Amino acid sequence: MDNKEQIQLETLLDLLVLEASEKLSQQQREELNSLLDVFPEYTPDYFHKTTALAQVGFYLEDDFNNETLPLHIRKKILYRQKQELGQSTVLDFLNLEKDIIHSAIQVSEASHLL
Amino acid sequence: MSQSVGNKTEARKEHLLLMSTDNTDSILKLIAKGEDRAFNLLIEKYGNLVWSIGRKFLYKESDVEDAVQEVFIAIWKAAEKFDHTKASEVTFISMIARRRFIDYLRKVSKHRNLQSIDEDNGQELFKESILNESTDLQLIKDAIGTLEIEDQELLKLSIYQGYSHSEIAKLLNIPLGTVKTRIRRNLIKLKGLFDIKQQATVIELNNG
Repeated sequence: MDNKEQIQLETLLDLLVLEASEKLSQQQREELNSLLDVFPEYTPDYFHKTTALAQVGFYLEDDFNNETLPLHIRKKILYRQKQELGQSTVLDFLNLEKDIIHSAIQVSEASHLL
Repeated sequence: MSQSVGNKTEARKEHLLLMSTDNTDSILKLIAKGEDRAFNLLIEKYGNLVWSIGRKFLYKESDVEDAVQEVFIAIWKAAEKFDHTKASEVTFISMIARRRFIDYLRKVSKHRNLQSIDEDNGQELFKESILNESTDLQLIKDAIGTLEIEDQELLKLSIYQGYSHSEIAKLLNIPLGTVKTRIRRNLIKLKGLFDIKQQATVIELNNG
């Protein structure tokens, strides 16, 4: 590999890292595509799996991470899935609204206690 | 409190080793088969992980709420594409979640400030839902452990916390080129380690 190719490869790898961790600009996207033509053994998702695995690794090692999915979000997700399936009803929607209001009241009461 | 965290960490490490050999059926396969309860199971098992990733990437609570809903619907729709010989379930889910959050992050262009990096809420841990995954979680931990502490921190800021390379350069007061080079070098190293493991798993599956 000559110098020019080496520089191109490093640029390609930088762009692939960015692709896996940030959103590329249009210009970067075009540059990435043209470099992928030069190095067809690489794919746009070259680092996706690595970053996903590392994400999980850091999550499991983070002793102070205590994020839990709020109940009202869980219900919203289930409602959205039902919508997608065309199975949601007015009653589902009203129950969801009731749950959201209930959660908001609980949060408000808890903040008063602090 | 530190003793409580230490005990929890030890218990989780033990759990990780046990779970790495677990062979439970994939929830994504159940979803693809159209099992009614499967989507609930998915949220039950991975809800905390996805929520946690979202909270790292996005600053506003309302953005996290919207994005997390989108992520789960995207996972549900993509379940058919899941292939356990290419990636474990948790990896597949994490990949989809990352893509969605990165898209969302750039759309809203807002990020937490530096103070939140060291934020310590000091509460109990709730990660058990993910630990039933039949993937070699110990390998991930070991692979990250092979990196220099400073490099782990850089990757953590980029991959786990969702900071851009420019933001990291500013936060740590180091040149952007250095940030890029070190992140690239370490991702290549991690990829090498993960790929070796994957090849071994595929051979194992083919023989077994």
